[in-house]
Parts: sequence; structure tokens; C-alpha cells
Amino acid sequence: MKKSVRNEILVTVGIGLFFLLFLSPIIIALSGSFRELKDTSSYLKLFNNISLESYKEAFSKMKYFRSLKNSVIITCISTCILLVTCSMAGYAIARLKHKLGAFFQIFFLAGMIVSAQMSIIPMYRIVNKLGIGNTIAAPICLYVTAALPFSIFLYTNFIKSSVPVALEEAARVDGAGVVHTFRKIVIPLTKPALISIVITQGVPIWNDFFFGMLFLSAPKQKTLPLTMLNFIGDMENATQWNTLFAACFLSAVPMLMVYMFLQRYFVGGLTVGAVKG
Amino acid sequence: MADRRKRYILLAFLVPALSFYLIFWISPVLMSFFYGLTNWSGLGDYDFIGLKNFKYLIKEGTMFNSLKNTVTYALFVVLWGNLQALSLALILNMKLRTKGFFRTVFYIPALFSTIVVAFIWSYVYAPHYGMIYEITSTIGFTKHLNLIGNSATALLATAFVETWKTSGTMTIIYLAGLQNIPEEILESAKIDGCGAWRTTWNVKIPMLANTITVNVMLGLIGGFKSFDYVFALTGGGPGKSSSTLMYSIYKMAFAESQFGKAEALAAVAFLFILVVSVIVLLFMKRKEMEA
Repeated sequence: MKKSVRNEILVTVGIGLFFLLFLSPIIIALSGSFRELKDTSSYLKLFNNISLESYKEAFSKMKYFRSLKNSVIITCISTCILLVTCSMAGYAIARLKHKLGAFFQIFFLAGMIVSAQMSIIPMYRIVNKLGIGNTIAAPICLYVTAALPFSIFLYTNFIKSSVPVALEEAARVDGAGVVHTFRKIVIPLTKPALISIVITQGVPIWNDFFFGMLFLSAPKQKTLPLTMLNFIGDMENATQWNTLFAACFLSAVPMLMVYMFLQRYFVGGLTVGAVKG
Repeated sequence: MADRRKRYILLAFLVPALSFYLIFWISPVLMSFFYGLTNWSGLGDYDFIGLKNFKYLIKEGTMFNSLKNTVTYALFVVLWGNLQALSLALILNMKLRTKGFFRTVFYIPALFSTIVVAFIWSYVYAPHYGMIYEITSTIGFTKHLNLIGNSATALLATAFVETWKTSGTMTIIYLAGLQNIPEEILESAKIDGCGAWRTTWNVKIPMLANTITVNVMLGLIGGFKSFDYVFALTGGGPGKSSSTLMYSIYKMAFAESQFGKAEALAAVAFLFILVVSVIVLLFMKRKEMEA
């Protein structure tokens, strides 16, 4: 017994040290973000002065509330459209005749190997042809599309493994149509998969800068990650780092808060696809 | 009759997703492959030039260089990422009281935007004032490491950042896999006299085969599509030493107005990723059967 307690303490200390090293860039950045603007001494002196100057500077440079609002709007709309489209398609694929379903499943899954960088200019032209160039509809459509392959794959597999066909048959005997069965039986039973899609796809959408960089040029449309791009020039300048660090945390804080409150959904959501898929 | 109706409704269910997918994903890719056979600059007129772009890419070295960099990057992400995540998961799974805390903290980098991560790490790697510079000079190193400014290390230094960000996710997936191993199997291994090492090696890891496949495929595809950190940390440099496929394509298309050539490279990248992913997936599935 005593030996196992000692082992646990040793392992905990070992891991603790590893984590300290692992998180040291974040800790140093955090300490740097609280410095006075003019303080350019070594960043290894942790938390040597606490001031909000850098945050004030970053806050106004980022047009924080406007960018935050844009991020929230774009992420929410994209995620909602994604949930509706991928659950409908995933259900259809799971319940279509074997060969047809398998074809569509592979057809969508193949999209995972495509990367946006491969075809930016055609994407750009299509977006402009549709008349949604320079509107938030453009990145939203691409976020939905880019997330579809994985989401459909996850959702289809989840239905196949956890929604009994017999249950749907019973509903049908009772006179329920396909749409009704889908809404009243399938959707409630697949909540874990839907949460998983929100977590695994919503977080990257929130954090993405690429589609925004391509399709949103007006400053008033910028999302939080996009405002970070404005700081790229400042990286060369060692005296700008306090503000840069503050900007990093300002842009990360909303997601950290969400994580703090919804942590168990994050852990559950990440593992649904991996364990059941 | 009812069956037929049901099938039509199910097919109608596919329409919204299929529209997004065909309009914004499939047709741009097909258009790109077509442009790969032209000398289009991205604006104005173009001529059909057959396979000249491919010949150019081979002769000039971009194709080989970016393929090599991408493979190196992906291999590093898969090997180092999985090794790190699997060992951590095995340790954290040892019924530690602090497991929940560590798991929570470890996931934090995964919540940051790639651009934020790139900023923080460009400070870590910065020559003359960065974290690595300061630490090495404090402990008395006189030879200064400039990891992203050196063509021998820039690529791996960039790939390391990717593993730093993704390891939390991978570890959580491994932990879930470990918790799925039935307690009886571990018990019976213990009764049969298996020590901790042998249980890990001969029981736990084979039982994790499915989870390993998931993490390897996630790492591999993520690695093949690597763009963000190259874009924000090294800009493909020094020289072209850290230019991956996606970054080379992006740079040729945008900065150099060589859209035809960029798309020829995109076609190569597409085929390459497709073939390698399928081969690795089949290989992993066969291993799973054996395990």
C-alpha cells in the first residue's frame, strides 16, 4: 500500500514537470501579456509587473467586440447548417439500400483528402458567380462544406451502431412517415453524435482564418482569428510582443470559457467518433 | 409502394449536403485539374498546354521538394504525436487522482486558433530574444539555436508545433480507448502473471488497435494537408526547405500568379494523398485483424 502511494506521488510529480514544460510557452505568453508596454526585459521573468496596458492596446486594435460578434455569428450559422445537412444526409446514407448507401458514404468521405488550398481560385470564382463574394455567406458555405465529409461519416456510423432499425419499423407501423421518424426518433437518439460534430467541427470553424482571409476583405467583417493576421508584421519587432501576447489571449478567451463550462461535452464529443466509428 | 416513397424521401434528404459538396468542393477540384493542363495565370486568357506544367514542376524540383517535405512533416506528426499521446494516456490511465486535472490542462492548446499557436511559437523560436534562446543562454550555451531560421531544422520545428497542438486531442482519444478495454481481460492477464510492462505491450496495445488506426489516420491526413503553421511560422523558408505541398500550391497560385502550375501540383497532391491514405488505412485494418 505504502509503495503504491509513493509511486503515485512520483508519477504525479513527473507528469507535473512534463506539463509545466509542455505549457511553458503559454505561461510565458500569459505573463508577457500582463506587462507594461515599455517593459522589454527578458520574458523569463514571470509576472514581474501586472498591468492591463497591453490588453487595452490589443483590445482596441482588434476592435474586439465587433470581431467577437462576427466570430459568434459565423460559427453559429455554419454549425447549425452543418448539423441539419449532415444529419439528413447521414440518415439517408445509413438507411438507403446497401450499395447506394455505401457509394455515397465513400463519395463524401473522399472529400476529407481535399484541402481548400488545392482549388482556391475556382472556389473564388464560384463564390463570385453565386453573388455571395465578400459576404459572410461565402466562408459559411465553405465551412459547412469542408466539415461535411467527416461529420457525415461520423453520423452514419453512429446511426448504424446505435439506432435499431426495429424501432423505426415500429414507428412506421404506427403510421409515422420518414420525416417524422427522423425528427422524433433518430435525432433524439443521436444527440451524442450531434454534440460530437459541434465540438470536432465547431472549434476548428471558430479558429479558422483561411476562408475568412480569402473571402472577407472589409474590416467590419473580420473574425477574431482574422484580426490576428493584422499583427503578423509586428512579429519582426521585438518591442511589440506584449501587445501580441495580449491579442493571443483575447482571441483565445471565449473558447477557453466555453471549454471551462462545457468540459464534459468536449471530452465526450471527441471520443464518440473515435470509439464508435 | 411505401418502400419506393421512402427511398425518394431518403434521396431528397441527401440533396442539401450534396449541393454544398458538389458546388463548393467537387467542382472546384475538377476545375483545378483542368487548369493544371493550361498556362492560366489566374486572370485573363489561357492556352491548353498539355503536360508541360508537370514537366516543369519535375525539372524545377518543386514537385520532389514539396512531396518530400510533406511526407517528412506527416511522418513526424504521426510518429511523434502518437508516441507522445499513447505514453501519456497510458500513464494518466493509472488511476491517478490527478488524471482529470491533467487531461483538462493538456487539452488547452487544442482550443487555440492555429494563428495564435503560430504567434506563440514564433516567440518561442525567435532568434535573439525567444524562449529557447533565453533558456539556452541562461544555462550557458554560447552556440545559439535558430530552429526555424535553419533549413535543416525549420520543417521539423514546424511539425513539432502541430504535435503540440494536437496531442491533447490524441491523448483523450487514447484514454477513451483504454477505458473501453474490459476490466476482466486486465484481471485475467494479472492472474496469468503478466507484469505491468507485459500487460501494456501484449494486452493493452493490441486492444487499442482500432484507436491507433483512428489517431494515425487523423495525424496522417492532417500532416498531408499541413498549411497553417508553414504559412504563419516559416513562409516555406529558409529557401524552400519547409515548403509543403499545400503551401507551395498556395504560393504559386497567389503570390506568383502561376495558377496552371499550382493546379498541376494540386492534382499530384490529390492523387498522392488519396493513394497513400488508402494504402495506410488498408494496412492498419489488416493489422487490426491480426491483433
